Amino acid sequence: MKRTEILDNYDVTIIGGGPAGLSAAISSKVNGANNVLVIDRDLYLGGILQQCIHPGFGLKKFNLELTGPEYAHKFIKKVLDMDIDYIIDAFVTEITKNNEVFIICPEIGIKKITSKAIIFAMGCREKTRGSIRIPGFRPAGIFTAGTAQRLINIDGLGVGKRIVILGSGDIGLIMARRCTLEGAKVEAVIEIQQYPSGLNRNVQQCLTDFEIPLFLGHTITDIQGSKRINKVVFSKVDFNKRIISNTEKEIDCDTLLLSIGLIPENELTKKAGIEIDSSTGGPFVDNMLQTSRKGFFACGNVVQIFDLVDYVSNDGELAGKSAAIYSMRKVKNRYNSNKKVFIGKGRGIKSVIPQILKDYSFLDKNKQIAVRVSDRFEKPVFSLKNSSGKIICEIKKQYALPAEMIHLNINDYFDKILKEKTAFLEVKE
Amino acid sequence: MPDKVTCIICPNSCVIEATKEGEEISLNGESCNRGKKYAILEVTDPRRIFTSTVLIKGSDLKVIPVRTTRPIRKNEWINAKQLIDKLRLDAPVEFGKIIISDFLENGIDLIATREATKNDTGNIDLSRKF
Repeated sequence: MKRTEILDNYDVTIIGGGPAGLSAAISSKVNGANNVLVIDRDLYLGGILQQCIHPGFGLKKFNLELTGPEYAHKFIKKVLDMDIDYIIDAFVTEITKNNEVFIICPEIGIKKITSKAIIFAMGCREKTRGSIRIPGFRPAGIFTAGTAQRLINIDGLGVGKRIVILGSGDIGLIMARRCTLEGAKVEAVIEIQQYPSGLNRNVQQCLTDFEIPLFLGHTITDIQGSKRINKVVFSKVDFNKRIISNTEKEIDCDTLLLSIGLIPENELTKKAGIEIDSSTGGPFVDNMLQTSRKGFFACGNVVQIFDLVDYVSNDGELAGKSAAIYSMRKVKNRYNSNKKVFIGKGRGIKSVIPQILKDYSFLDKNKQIAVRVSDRFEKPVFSLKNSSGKIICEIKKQYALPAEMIHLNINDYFDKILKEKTAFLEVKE
Repeated sequence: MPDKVTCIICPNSCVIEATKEGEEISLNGESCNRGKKYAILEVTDPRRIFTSTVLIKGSDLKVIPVRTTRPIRKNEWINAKQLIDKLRLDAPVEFGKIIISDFLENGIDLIATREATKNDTGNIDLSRKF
């Protein structure tokens, strides 16, 4: 799977060939862009989906329970059928202010292309030991869960025989089952929160099914071993996640997997001078997924960490459509009006996407904002208030959890919201 | 005492209470028909879709991902894994190809979930990254 004959100019260039990028490419082409290019640094398209060999993808989008490679296959096939250009084993080093993209690739060396519109779809990367500062020695045998997943499912290698997993995120849970099936013994999954951070169905089918112990409200306080890790020490934590002394337990192991969260990968975005929202780690975007620079769009996990790949594909579709319309220079007529409104974060709100709403004429009627809350809420009421504190609209939900993204439908209130310059989103029970 | 079943059909992860009274099973807490079917199976005959990887020669890929076409019994997983550990496939393998038909003699097939082309096209050595 390789194509190296690429053009010098493109209508839309997409950086990243994972679910967001593939979906954006297809949508760009469908919406009228002539030349579309997908760039990926790996040796194949599909991104992380290719290493997620377990089922559970596509239930929302296709009403099918697909594995990661099967989900990716649907999109890759479309990209190939539609003659969309792509280049793999290629790394984007820089994007200049003049819309020039610099690519390095072993087959073609350094290449510069220019593009009318650029879509960031680089996804995210995993937090490492350094992100949470686990004390102890620095022996071999400590991996992030996703790295272990790649070693096993793509490279056909083993990671260890006696495994401890820190963090109960979905990747960690999936890897507990995968490692067990590969003949390793998963000694424990350790989670600092009082509840699992992955989906309950994964706790059931990955831990309970295989009788793997889950320690909630615990964290690792020491790592031992000189060449290879041989022991972890873990302790209980209180409700403020403070370590309780004299609660230490020890487990012998040869491998530690970390599943402690994901961060959007935005080095290129920052280098291109685009503003980043500190609450999401991704760029500020408006409701056409345009960033703070005109003609630069972003979609998928590079904007914020999504719960399901199905939503990432939808996000890619929107970015693709927007970029195609931008590249065709139909932008002059793209507004119904010049109004725009900033959405600020009020009490109980961790992040809001998009942060800016504009009155684009080409966008679908289905207007949504994606919200993450900072606490657990039963029967929450989300309210948008204007700068003087007056309520613009209220939306009720059944429940809200920090682990789950909530979609608020704002169709009915859109015109009302646009009358303001700023609006603040709040949540209360 | 009702059995508490965590539904694994979709990410909603509904907790369904299943009460057995002789042959009858009554449910509480399910939110769709698929969940209903799942909960009944889970207390009578628990099954899961099995996925793993199989070694492959002559391709850019080292291993190829596989799955069962339908869920198999939970207690058959280890047996299934031992069976496929002995397999060595030769490229090319097309997407969706049946690797073993009637896997575990239950009428369920094992299929490839990814395409593996012969490596004479790209000449890329996947191992050089590591």
